[in-house]
Amino acid sequence: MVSDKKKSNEIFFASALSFLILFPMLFWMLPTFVFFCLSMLPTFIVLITEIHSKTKLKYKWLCVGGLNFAGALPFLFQLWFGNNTLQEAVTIFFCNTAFVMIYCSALVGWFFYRFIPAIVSVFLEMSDQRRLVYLQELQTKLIAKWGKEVSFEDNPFLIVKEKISSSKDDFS
Amino acid sequence: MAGNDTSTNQDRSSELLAPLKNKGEVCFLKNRFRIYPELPLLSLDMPCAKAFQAEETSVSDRKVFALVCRPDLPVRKDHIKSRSGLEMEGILTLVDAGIAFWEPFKSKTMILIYELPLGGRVVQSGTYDKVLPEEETEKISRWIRPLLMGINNLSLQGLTHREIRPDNLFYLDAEKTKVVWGDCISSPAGYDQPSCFETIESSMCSAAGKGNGVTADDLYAFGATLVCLGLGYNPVEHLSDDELLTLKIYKGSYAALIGEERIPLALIELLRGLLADNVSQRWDISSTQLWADGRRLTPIQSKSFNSSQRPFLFNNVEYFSYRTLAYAFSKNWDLASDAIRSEKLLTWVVRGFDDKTTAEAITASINMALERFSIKEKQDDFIIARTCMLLDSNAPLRMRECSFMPDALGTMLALYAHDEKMTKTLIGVVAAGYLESWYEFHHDRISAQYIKNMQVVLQKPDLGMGAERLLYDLNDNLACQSPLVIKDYVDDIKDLMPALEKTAKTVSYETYPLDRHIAAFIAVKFGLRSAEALTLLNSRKEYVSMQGMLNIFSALQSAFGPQKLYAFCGWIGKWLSPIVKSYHSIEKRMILEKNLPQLLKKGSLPDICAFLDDKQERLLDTNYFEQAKKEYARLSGEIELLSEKSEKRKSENMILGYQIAAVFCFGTAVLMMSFLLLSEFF
Repeated sequence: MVSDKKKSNEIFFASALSFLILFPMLFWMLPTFVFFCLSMLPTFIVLITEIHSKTKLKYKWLCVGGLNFAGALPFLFQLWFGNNTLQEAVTIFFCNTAFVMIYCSALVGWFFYRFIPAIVSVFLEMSDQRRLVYLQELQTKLIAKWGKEVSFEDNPFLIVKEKISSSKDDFS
Repeated sequence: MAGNDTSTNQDRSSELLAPLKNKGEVCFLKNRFRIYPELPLLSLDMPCAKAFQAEETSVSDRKVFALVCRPDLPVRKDHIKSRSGLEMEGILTLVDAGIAFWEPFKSKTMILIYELPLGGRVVQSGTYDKVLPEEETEKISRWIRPLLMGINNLSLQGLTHREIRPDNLFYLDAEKTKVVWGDCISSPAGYDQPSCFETIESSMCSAAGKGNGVTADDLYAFGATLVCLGLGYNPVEHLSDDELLTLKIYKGSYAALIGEERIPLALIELLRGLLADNVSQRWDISSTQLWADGRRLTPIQSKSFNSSQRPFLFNNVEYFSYRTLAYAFSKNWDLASDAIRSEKLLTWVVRGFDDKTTAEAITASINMALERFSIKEKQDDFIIARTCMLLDSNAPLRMRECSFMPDALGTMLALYAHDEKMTKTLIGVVAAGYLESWYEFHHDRISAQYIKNMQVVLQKPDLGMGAERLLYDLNDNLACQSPLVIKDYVDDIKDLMPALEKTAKTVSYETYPLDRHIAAFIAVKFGLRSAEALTLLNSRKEYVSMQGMLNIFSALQSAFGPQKLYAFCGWIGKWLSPIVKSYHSIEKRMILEKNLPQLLKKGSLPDICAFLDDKQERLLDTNYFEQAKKEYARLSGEIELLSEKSEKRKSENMILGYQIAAVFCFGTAVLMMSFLLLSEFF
C-alpha cells in the first residue's frame, strides 16, 4: 500500500518535470510542432486505431509513420532552414502540394505494411519448400548409404524384423 | 559231447594258423594294417565285435587279427590309450586301434587290432572238459599266476577288465602253454558279462549300467571263472539271472556257485577269498599272490547279512533282510510305494532291526518327496528310489527300469542316446536329485557337488549344454552322435571338420551345420577355446549367432585342418547372409556380397572369418551408422518443422514480413534525413 502510493508519487513528479521542460519548448518550437502535427496526422490516426485494436502486432503505425515522416522531412528542413515561423509552417503545408506528397508517402507506407509481409511470407514459403526438398534429398542419400535401418528409432524389434525378412539370400 | 567240442576247437585253431588265401576286398587301417572283410574268424568273435583276418603291412612275422566293433556302442577308450602297442603278461596284446570305413556297416567304426592267439579260444561254449589240470603246481603256474598277472597289470594302469569269464580266455601260442584274457574294449565294461561272473551289486545293474568297477570285481569274476574251469561247466547255467541273484543274496556267492559240486581242496580257500560278497573281505591281488606263492591264509567265513526274526510281507512274499526287500521293491516298483508309505515298514525296521536311524531316514524321504514334488507318481518314484538306497546302500541306483552304478551314467546315456524315454528317465535321475542322494548316502561330498554341476548344465537349454553336453562330458570315448557325422565315427575333435566336409557334399544346404550334438561335442572336446564362440552362438541376435558358428568352425580348421574345406564353405555360405546384413553400410555390404563367393570357393574358414569379422571395420561401421542415425533424426525434425502448415508458421512468417516492412519504412526515413542533412551542409 505504501509502495503503491510512493510509485504514484514518482510518476506524478516525473510527469510534472516533463511538462515543465517540454511546455516552454512547445512555445519555442511552435512552427515545427504545428507542421509536425499536421504532417503526421495519418500516423497519429493509425497509432490511435492500432492502440485500440485487439491485434498484438503493432507494426502498421511504424510503416505508415516511417514513410509519413520521410515524406515530411524535406518540408520540415525547408521550414528549419528558411523562415521558421508559424505562418511559414502553415503556408508550406497548405499552399504547395506538400500535404499531398506527405500524405501520399503515408499511403505508400500503408501499402508497404499491406503487401511486404505477404510478399515475404510467399518468399519464405518458397524457401522452406526448397529447403524441404534439399533435406529430403539428404535423407534419401543417407538411406542409400546405410539402408532403411538408419531411419528406425532405437527399436530392436523393427531392426530384427527387417533383418529376418532380408536374411533369405545366400552366397553359395 | 565234450570230445566233439574239443575237436571243433582244434578245427578252429587250425583256421588261425592257415595261410591267408582268397583275401578278396581289403580294408586299410592307418595304412598299417590290411583287414579282410571276406575272411571272418568266427572263433575269435566277441559278443559285440566280429573278428576278421588281418595282417600288418610292414611287419610280416607278427600275426594279428581285427575286431570290428559295433558303431553304436561306446568302446573303452581308456584301454586303447593305455594299452596300444604295450605287451602285458596275461592280457591279449592290443597292437593298435583306429577308425576305418567298414563296408558292411556302411559307416566308419572302431577296429581293434589284437595279436592273434594262435592256440585259439580256451572254451567255445558252456559245456567243456575240465580245463584246469589236477596238479596244483601246474594249475598255479600255467593258469592262476599268469591270469592274476593280467588283472594286476591292468590294475597298475588304473584299469579294470570286467569281461573276465571262461569264454574270454585264449591260448596265445599254438602249443597252448600261455593263457591270456581276451578283449574287453569292444563293449562297455561288463556289458557282455553273464551274472554268474558278476558280484551281487553288479548283477542288479542293467547290462550297460555296471560301470568300470574296481579290481575287486575282476577278482570276483576270476574266482567264478576258476570254478567253471575247474568243474568243466558252469554250475549255475540253468538258473535265470533273477534266480541266481536271489540265491547269491540268500546263500552268498560261494555257496550259490559251488553248491554241492566237488571242488579240489586246494582251491576252496582261494575261491572263498575271491568270491566273498563283502568287498572288504574279498581277497585282493596281493592276498591271491601270497596264496599262489604257497602261503595259506585263514579261510574266510562269509558273513551273513543282517536279517530280522520277523518277516515283512510284500507282494505275498516274506522278506527278512534289507537287501532282499530293496531288490523286491526295485522289481515291483508300482507296488512298492504303498508298502513304504504304510506304517508297517517303519514298524518292521524298528522292531526287527532296532534301527531307528533308517526308519527316521525313510520318514524324512517321504516328507522330502511331499515337499519337492506335487505329482504323486514323482513322489512315489523319489520315495522308492531313496528307500532302496537306504535299505541297500551298496546296490546300484534304481529308478524304475534304470538300474546302474553311478559311474556308468555316461555309458547308459550313450547307449540310450536315441531312446527318448530312457534318456528322459536318466536325465530325471540327475536333475531330480536321485544321483545326489546316492552319493549323499555314500558320504561322497565331492561327487555330490559334481552332480550339482551336472544339474546346472542340464538346466541350460543353450547349444553346447543340456543332456548332450552331459553325454560327451561323461563319455570320453563316445563318437559324436549328430546325424550329420554319425557315419564317420567322429570320436576325436580333429576328425570333425573332415567329416563335415564329407557331409557337405551330400547334405541339403538348408540343413543347419551345427546341431546340439556337434555343439556339445565341440564344447567338451575343444574346451575353453570354444567358450567365447559358444556364447556368441547362443546369442538371440541371428547374426551374432552365425558369427559364433563361423568362429567355432574357423578355430577348428585353424587348429586341426584340413587346409581346404571347399564343400563345407559352400554349405556354410548359405548361412552367412545375416553377418553380411549386420553391416549397416550398404557399400560395405555390397563389397562383402561381391567378394564373399570368391572367398568361399577358396575353402578357408579363417579367411572368411577374418573377412567378415574385421573388428576395426565393424567399429567404424557402427560409429558412422550411429552418426548417420543422429543426422537422419535431425533432418527428420527439421523436415517436420518445415512441413508444418500451422497458423504458427504463417504467423511467424507474417511477423517477419511486418518487421521487414517496418525496418524498410524507418530505414527510408533515416536515409531521407541523412540525405537532406548532407545536402544542406555540403
